[in-house]
Amino acid sequence: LSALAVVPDDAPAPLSTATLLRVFWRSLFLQASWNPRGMQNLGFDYAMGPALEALYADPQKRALAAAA
Amino acid sequence: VLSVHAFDWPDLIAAALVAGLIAGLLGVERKGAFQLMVSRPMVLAPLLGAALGDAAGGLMIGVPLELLTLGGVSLGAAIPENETVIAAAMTSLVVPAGLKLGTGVDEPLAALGLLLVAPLGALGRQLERRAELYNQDLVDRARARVQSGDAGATRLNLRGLVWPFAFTALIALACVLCAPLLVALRRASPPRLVAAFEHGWHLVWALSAAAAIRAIRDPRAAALSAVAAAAVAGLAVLAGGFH
Repeated sequence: LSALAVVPDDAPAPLSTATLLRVFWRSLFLQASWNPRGMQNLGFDYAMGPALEALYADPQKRALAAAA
Repeated sequence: VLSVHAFDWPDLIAAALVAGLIAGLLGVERKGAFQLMVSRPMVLAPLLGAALGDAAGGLMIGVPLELLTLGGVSLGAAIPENETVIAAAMTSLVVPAGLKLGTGVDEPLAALGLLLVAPLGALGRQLERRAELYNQDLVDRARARVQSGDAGATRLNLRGLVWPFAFTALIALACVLCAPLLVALRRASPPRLVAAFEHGWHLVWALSAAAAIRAIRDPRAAALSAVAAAAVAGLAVLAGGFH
């Protein structure tokens, strides 16, 4: 199936192993700010931080992605 | 009778600080970070016991507490009694007392200790609920900062670790400092009361076996747990006899 996948020309580069390891490390704190309203919402945003940094060089766009 | 002067206070304060640090870290590990199950009573109590000087005594406390709290799972908005707080408090209170008495953690001391710290499980639940409400404020603050362009504000997530660390550490620390009172209570107990505590600890084991089997969520669990309780109580009577 992967051979059939169409990758658009403007697709971002794959995340590096170092970035993925940072995401993994932060995922260990997924429930640090567990709350009844959003549960792991802030923890998930925190864990995805390194990936967003790699995908969005522009801080404004990164903040928009984090707020989404 | 309630003399607490025989304790070596500098050593006790050092033990309280060590216990507070270990209990605080494991209190964080319970839900906020890693979740390696090191904070479960069966692991926490021997670890904390070893740090305080009696790993076997810690194990004697940890196993029945593990069985007793096996069915309480923190899922979604459900908050069970805080088993980490109970185990940390009981180990911090009973192990130093056992070392001081020279008996180690024996049955009467364990039963008396559990009687004293049991309400702390409910207190731990209340404190955890407060911490979660504080976390909601953290989320609101992080959201406001992210929406104003600060993507790094998600680091506020880590501040949610402060409350569980603080209340678990403080409870363990206070319990070590209360160990002289447990020693005094144990020494002041008449023999018949000591015998009652000893049988009480056997009943705790019976109740623990019943609670663990009840946790399997099976229609036959109630009947099986009654059989388990009767079996464990019977074994305790056969092994120890009645005084």
